[in-house]
Amino acid sequence: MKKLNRRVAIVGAAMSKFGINYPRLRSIDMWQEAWINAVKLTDKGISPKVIDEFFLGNFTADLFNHQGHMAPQMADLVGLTPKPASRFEGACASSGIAFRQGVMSIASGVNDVVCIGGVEQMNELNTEGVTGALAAAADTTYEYFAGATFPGLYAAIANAHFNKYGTTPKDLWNIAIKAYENGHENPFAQEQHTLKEIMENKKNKAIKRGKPVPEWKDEYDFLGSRSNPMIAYPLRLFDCSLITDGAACVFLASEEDAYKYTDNPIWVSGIGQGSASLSLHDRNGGLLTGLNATREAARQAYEMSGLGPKDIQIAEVHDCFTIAELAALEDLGFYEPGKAATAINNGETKRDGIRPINTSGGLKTKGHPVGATGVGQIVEVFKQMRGIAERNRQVKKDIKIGMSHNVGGSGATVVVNIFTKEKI
Amino acid sequence: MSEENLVTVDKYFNFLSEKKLMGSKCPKCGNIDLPARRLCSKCISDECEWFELSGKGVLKTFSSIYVGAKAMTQKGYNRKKPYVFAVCQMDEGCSVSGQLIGVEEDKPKEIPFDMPIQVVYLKTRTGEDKEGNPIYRWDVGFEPQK
Repeated sequence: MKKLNRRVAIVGAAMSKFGINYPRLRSIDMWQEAWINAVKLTDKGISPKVIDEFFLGNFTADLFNHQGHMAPQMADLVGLTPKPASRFEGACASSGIAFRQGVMSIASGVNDVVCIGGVEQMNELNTEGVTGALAAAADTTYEYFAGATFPGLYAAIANAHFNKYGTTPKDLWNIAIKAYENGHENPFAQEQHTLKEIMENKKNKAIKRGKPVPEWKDEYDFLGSRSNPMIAYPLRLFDCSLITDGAACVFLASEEDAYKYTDNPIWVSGIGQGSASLSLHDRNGGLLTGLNATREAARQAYEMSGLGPKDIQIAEVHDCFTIAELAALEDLGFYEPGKAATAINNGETKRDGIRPINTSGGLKTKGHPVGATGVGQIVEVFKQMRGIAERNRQVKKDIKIGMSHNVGGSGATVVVNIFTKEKI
Repeated sequence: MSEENLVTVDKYFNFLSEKKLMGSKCPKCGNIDLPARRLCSKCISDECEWFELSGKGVLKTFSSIYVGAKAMTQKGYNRKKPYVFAVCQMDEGCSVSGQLIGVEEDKPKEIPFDMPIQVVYLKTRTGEDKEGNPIYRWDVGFEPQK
């Protein structure tokens, strides 16, 4: 793995509020909100005039909103016309890919300053429509008519993990509980209630309607209840991420330019991207209990940065389902295969744990506007490393090294980035 | 390779409609791919030939799906009547996805991993031709070996 020819830094990053924003806010509105917020978080300001190129991540506005050709549209809204503007597609890793391309464009010397965007407006369709559009990220030729759905594909990974390592629904549930605790502290998250609050709301609704009131003592009683129905065994409703509208924006600059925009750049010290067959079944000799492409992307990022799993202090990992977070912790090398569950149950991944994971709430509660997710994760790592995460979710210790991990589909595309405060 | 014997997706599905499980075999390295591929997935030789598989294998992983794909809900599957999506490895080494039938779908804990399976051929109505005759597609499915 070669090093970047010249170093690249994040000088500003922010997101729009994630949530069910449609029809009040559409892609056009959310993208402008993300841009405005990112300019505000660029210490010395930044103007479209200095930006050489625009890279947009968007999975499928074509199917969600009947809108293709979105990059010049978004570029025009923020004054980037007539600069080059291109859209990148890698399912839920679309903006992760866009980010990596932007980094490489600066490292190559073609650009000095670039803008990376991610945007997705999903709630224009109903749940069935969204499920159908998302299914385009799986193998339509061979998987779809076998009955595969996204929860189903990840459920098959979960089931294999359960079978091989003895992982249980309760292990996954601890990931969900943490996600709700973190989302509660994120004003940009779609779901800001804790699970306890959600349970209380359900009890109050039952009382109002004169229906039997559920007798849940704690979150674990809620796990197997009728309010948390099975979607695809062993995954239940609250194991799944959300259907979200949102946008995110990052500004990158070369090492020569970065200090024009901030005195505290966050360096992109390792990038990696891996691929795997689109179908789960084709991962011959593959990891049905995890994702090969995560291992490959991580290998590249570790090698480029000269860092290893032990050096990573915080990470935003791709938790489209609870099992995806657990598998990521093992595939990224934080824990041996089969060992992540014990660490999660011991609280190691909580905000006050030894390596906080998904302090933003993750895709699970912050939300998952698929094409904006990769950049959205980078926004959280940036905030944590700058010490500006809102409410009570700022990690207490000084974060010098952070990571983001973005997955497309059931793991056919994976991007991993390592960020450092020091220019290593 | 003659046009007639060329490994294509359309021919793969045509074989399935004849209830033949045809993968591809690489004459260079002996690797067998299912679904069939024109280029060998191991050595990327472009000389792969059609090869009929035994249709026997084992269950590698699965999920009982309660909120299904539209193709399955149209067949009547729903929250109360789930179906099983499965990945099976064939005795020849290659793996493929399919619906697993002949099991108790709503008791997924009782479906054993590595259970011996055999391939079945499942029909889905996908539309109509100009004359109004139904169009079907055939897919690989599995059932427990008898």
